[in-house]
Amino acid sequence: MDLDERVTELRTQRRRKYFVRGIAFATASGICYGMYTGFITLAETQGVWGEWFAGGEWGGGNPALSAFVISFVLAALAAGLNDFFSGIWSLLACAKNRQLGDFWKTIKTKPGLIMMICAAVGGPIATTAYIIGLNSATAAGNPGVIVPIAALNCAIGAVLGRVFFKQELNAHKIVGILICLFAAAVIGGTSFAAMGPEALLGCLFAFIAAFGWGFEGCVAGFGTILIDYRIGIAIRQTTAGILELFVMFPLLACVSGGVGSIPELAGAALTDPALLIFVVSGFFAMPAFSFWYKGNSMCGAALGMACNGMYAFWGPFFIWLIMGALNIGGMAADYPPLSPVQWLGALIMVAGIFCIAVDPSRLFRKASEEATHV
Amino acid sequence: MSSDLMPLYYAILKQFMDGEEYSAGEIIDALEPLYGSYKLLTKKDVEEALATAKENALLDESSYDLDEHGELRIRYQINDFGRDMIDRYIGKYNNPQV
Repeated sequence: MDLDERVTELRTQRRRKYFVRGIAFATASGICYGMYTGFITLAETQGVWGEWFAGGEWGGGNPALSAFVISFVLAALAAGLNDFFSGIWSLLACAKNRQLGDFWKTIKTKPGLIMMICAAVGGPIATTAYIIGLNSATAAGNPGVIVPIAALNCAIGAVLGRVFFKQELNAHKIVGILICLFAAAVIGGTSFAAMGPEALLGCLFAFIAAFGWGFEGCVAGFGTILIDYRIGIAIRQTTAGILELFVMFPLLACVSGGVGSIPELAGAALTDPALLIFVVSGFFAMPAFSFWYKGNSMCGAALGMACNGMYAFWGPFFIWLIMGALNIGGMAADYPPLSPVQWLGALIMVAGIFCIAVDPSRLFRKASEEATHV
Repeated sequence: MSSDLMPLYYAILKQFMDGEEYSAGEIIDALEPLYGSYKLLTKKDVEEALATAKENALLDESSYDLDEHGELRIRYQINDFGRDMIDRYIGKYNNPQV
């Protein structure tokens, strides 16, 4: 075998290996998204959180929280705890790679600043809205239904990219967006029929989350390709967690009628054993992002995004598995699986995300090209 | 000393601004004097960094051959988009001259 043939063969091998590993990582990231969603939902049923959401007295005699506090203030607190812990996990990962010096220096550069601005939109606004959506859907009977709505962020990101950056919107992307909207309408519509208006409120906030993440995705994609992805994730999660805990949560708490409720709620949340479940959900939120980036670098950003977007399916799946089927938390009856139509909707959503991210005709051509090149 | 350096990832990308093509091994050789103490200045990690930059469309693969161990060596070169992005966002950060 001559040298050229050997090089060609090694290239083909390597490309195939990267491709397969990339898909594995991107899929794992979607699964971690699902698991972090599942564990947040679980944490919010435990200890003092369970008492808060039950709407009665809590902590042995404190008066019940108002509906506003339950819907919004607790969501910011839960989002903040989750993102803050995942920030700590990602800083630990950086420390292991001895990247903390670079982390600090990157913050002070322009790409670092862009990352923080994106985190400010994606964290306090989108993640908080996501948790508000999860919570009101939980109250209505099934948290899983809003996850596929939030997964619309791919579709919205594609539209925003067109508006802000004049990115192309090809036929396959438009078809994908329409498929996603259709699937979201099916899931939202059936939830409304089965669960009433609270589910619709949940879907509305999930839609706001999708908007924030869509914006984050299309701006961050532009500003952050110059940062090492591990450092980028650490910046994103710590910024989001700090803003949620120290800005969004106190702000909403003040609006709801009292500075005094800030230490009261924070104190109860921080001393409750349910805090440990947030440590776990934060642990899964970290690879949810980091595997996504790693997957992108190995199998291409488009396909990576598509595999990651499968959390439209994994989210409701893990909520059902952890809390329904495995009955962790002891509330199985409250966590039914989605209805068959809604599972189908979640799968259609995944197909739609694939259509947005990957041009089916090109993927097909690429595969056949590689086959003939070997 | 190392506190004056720009982040390693910036240094890797900026190495390409001279327009030459580099493999992961050559990047390591070039950065070794300044970044020798960095844990992520290894062949595996730099290869991953370059593959990521290529997927992000900053770099193009420019040539392939075998290294002295018979392993595939991919060289990369910066393209117009990469040059523009680096100029615009991290152009002003430089390392002290050694």
